[in-house]
Amino acid sequence: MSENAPSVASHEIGDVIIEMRNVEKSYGNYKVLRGINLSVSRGERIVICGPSGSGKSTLIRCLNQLEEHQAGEIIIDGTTVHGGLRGIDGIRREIGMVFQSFNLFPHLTVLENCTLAPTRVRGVSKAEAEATARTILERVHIPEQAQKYPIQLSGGQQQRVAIARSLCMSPKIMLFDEPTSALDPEMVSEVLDVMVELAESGMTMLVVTHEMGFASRVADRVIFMDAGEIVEVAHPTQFFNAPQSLRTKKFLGQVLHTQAG
Amino acid sequence: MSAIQDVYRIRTQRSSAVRRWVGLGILALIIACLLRWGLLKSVFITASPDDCRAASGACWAVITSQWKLVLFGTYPFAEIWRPSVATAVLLGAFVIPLIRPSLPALACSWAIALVIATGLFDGRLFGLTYVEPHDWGGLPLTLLLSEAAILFSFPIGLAVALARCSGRVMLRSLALVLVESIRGVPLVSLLFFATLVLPLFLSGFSSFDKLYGAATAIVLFNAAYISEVFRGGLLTVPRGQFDAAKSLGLRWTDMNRLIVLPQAFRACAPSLVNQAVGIVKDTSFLAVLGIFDFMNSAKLALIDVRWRGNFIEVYVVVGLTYFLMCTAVSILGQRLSSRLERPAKVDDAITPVALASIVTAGSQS
Ligand SMILES: Nc1ncnc2c1ncn2[C@@H]1O[C@H](COP(=O)(O)OP(=O)(O)OP(=O)(O)O)[C@@H](O)[C@H]1O
Ligand SMILES: [Mg+2]
Repeated sequence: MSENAPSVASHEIGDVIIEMRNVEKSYGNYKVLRGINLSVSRGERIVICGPSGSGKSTLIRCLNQLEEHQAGEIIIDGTTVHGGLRGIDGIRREIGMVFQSFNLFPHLTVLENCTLAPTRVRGVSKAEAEATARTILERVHIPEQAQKYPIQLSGGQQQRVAIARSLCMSPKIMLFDEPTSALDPEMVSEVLDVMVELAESGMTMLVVTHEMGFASRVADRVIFMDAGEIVEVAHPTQFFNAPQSLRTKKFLGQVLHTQAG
Repeated sequence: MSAIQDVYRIRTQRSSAVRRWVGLGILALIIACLLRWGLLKSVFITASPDDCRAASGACWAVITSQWKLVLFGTYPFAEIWRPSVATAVLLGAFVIPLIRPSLPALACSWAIALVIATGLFDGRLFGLTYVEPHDWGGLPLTLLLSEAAILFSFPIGLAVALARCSGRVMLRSLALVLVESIRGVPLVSLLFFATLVLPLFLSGFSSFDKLYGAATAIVLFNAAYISEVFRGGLLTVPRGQFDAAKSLGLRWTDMNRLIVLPQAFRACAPSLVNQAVGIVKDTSFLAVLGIFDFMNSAKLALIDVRWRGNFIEVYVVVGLTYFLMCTAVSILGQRLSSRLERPAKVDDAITPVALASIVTAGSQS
């Protein structure tokens, strides 16, 4: 994907759906998030990048409380989430998440992976869930793999199933944590294409990735993180062409260098 | 191939042929001796031990003439139809999950069978004369205890394992203390504790027989081990599986039941079968408390001085019976766990042809 590729058509941006205020998180004495402030609107596409260990994963994992934050506020679609929240399952089912290592359920077929949560959590009938799943598998271009087990698929196919599995819950927000980092280079684009299509459909997306081509094409804002802080937030054009901080420049220099090579 | 290699090859072939024939010969001899002793020269039915002494083979009459003692121990003879029916029920409950291998089917059929069997032993549930647990015995008792101990110790072990893996510190430490304190004690001392010390605290329950205490001890003892086996299985499930399940909004119970446990089971199924087989054999420890399980009942046949010399035959029968029971448990375990087999990646599988080519390649180098 080149940086000159046409960017995704302009789209509606609605009310605020994610609000982070002064969010702090530490492991023991080690602060991983140092006062994160971020507000995301419905339909917005945000790309988060930054060096390894800067807290990108931790940030998005706090949104659905796979990690608990210790200070500050996180409000998801009007509900304040925190550790030990009773209704957290209800919040999580509105937030899809795609992981670097796919995390498909190995003992279930592709179709079962996709229908499990809708039937169990949403109480959808099996037939209806399967019909939805097949439609969505078609959307991620693997309708023919429905009866296979994850281990029988390539990495790119597995990641697309993982996306489909999340989409089957018709979430309001999709989180991606380096979805293409574990893939062989030739499989990266098939996953990114699916993500671009998803962006075109108006999904609210937070994507941790170093795929700068994807960022410039899809993102409404790019966020650069370093050492647990948000260092820079900018529209991709400005982010790539006129980065403000030194740390961003240095990081971009490294990333763009390796991606060109 | 050089001449020297040729000679060497022929020589090894010849010596391996010789070894094969010697081995087969020894095996045939052993089988012949066993057949002669166990079948041809043996005495199956006689009322007088003297007939046995005259014969050179085994004296199975020690069992056949005292089958009531061997099979039913101290259970009142007039009522032995009750443990007989109980045995049929228990065996039936064993066979059902063999036909339809599913855990819920097994749990249901065993639970029902245990209630019926205990009711038959005891009698009061069905309006029959009451027989005290003190008088229960024999093979039916061993079957009853085995199925009960397996049925109870597995869920308890699983619960303890989940507690030990939980995020709550209190729950985790409680489970740890429980497992370590039970596992650190020999089963026999646990049996004495449960039957001698525990009743002192439970004096309110006047009918608390030592049989129930002993069964509890066996259940707890094995639950401690089983919990560690389960924990080992739980530890093999990658953290990402929990992340994925949670991020989909699955509740804790669904996450464990549908995602975590099936994978954990698959990882520890062989060790779980091990534990189940161990439980069957553990029931024979009840003899130290004077409970007449199958092993102890069979030994009653040797009390009569006239039969005392035939202990080999008794132990052979006891051993074979335990062997059959344990094999049945292990087959059931395999049936249940084979449903959890990992789907194989097509090109992961080593085909016989591929295997042969690897082996020949290895032997040629
Ligand atoms: N469970 C944990 N316990 C202790 N420290 C942790 C834990 N998880 C993450 N960390 C630390 O928190 C910091 C931020 O981790 P995080 O995974 O959020 O970084 P990241 O920006 O996603 O990095 P990467 O690009 O390598 O994925 C790292 O220094 C990491 O070592
Ligand atoms: Mg990360």
